[in-house]
Amino acid sequence: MDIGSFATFTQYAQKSQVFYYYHGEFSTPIVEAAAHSLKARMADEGTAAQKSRKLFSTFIEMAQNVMHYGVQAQTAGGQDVDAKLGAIAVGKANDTQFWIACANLVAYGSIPRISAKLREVQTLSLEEIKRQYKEQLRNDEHSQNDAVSKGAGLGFLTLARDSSEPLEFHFLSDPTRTDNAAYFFIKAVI
Amino acid sequence: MSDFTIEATAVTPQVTFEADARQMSLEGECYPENPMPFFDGITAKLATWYTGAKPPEFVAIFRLQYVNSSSTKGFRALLSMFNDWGKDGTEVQVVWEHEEEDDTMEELGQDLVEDFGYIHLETATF
Repeated sequence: MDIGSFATFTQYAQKSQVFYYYHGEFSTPIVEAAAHSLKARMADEGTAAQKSRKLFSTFIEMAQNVMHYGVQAQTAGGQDVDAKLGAIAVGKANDTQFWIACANLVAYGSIPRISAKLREVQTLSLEEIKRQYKEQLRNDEHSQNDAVSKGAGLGFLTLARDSSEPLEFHFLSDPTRTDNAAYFFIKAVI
Repeated sequence: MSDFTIEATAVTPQVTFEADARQMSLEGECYPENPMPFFDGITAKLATWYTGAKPPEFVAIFRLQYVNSSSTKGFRALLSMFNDWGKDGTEVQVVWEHEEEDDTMEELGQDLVEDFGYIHLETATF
């Protein structure tokens, strides 16, 4: 990145009140370290306990979602990179709310399935989210097939439960990619 | 000796089991990316003890600050085993402790135990 681009980048970040941004490999130690740093920041700022808990939970669910479902990146030569790549950011939406957004690669073919699940979750009231969560918890079969989960999984329901606004999502295909992967973005407001 | 302690890690709670007291406690946060090794370890140890001891009662104390969505299945499986013990004649009590005003954890305890009729659930705050 040249210094001009970096200046633009920092200005965008400042405008969106980003206070945490990570881009790169999502591995267990990295996610743990990030989660602890976020927790320390919340404690430092005296964020209310309930909001802190929701923000922490959303951060973990989003990051672990990348580790579970993200497709592995490939080099230009078509070799698998042995890591799940993604980006996650946390910022202030206003004086009382935070936003948290995550990006990762998904298989192009999984877009209809993910969209259908999230569109369904977007229509649910908090009571309906809790009811579905309870049903999903009992659905032992689901855990056996978790790699390709049917219905809205516990992860998306947990995100929806903690978000004060419907979850937003977006896909972006990149015609230059040769690995049949597309970018998936998801955002919650806490 | 069936007693055991599993020290807490950054992402798993401390587990303590005392055979004489017939009591297990689990305390901390639980959010490993892959929770199964953690839960399988506890389940195996407790199942071995139970088979040999056939205790008249058993108490499990959960004092948790945070549980990720993938760990909830592990808790469900653990409680399902306790429910089976109840069915088998053991008086099973689960004490589910959560932080004040932590509705999420409070509701999780209720949801997890809901259709396990052989478990006596008690909730408390810490």
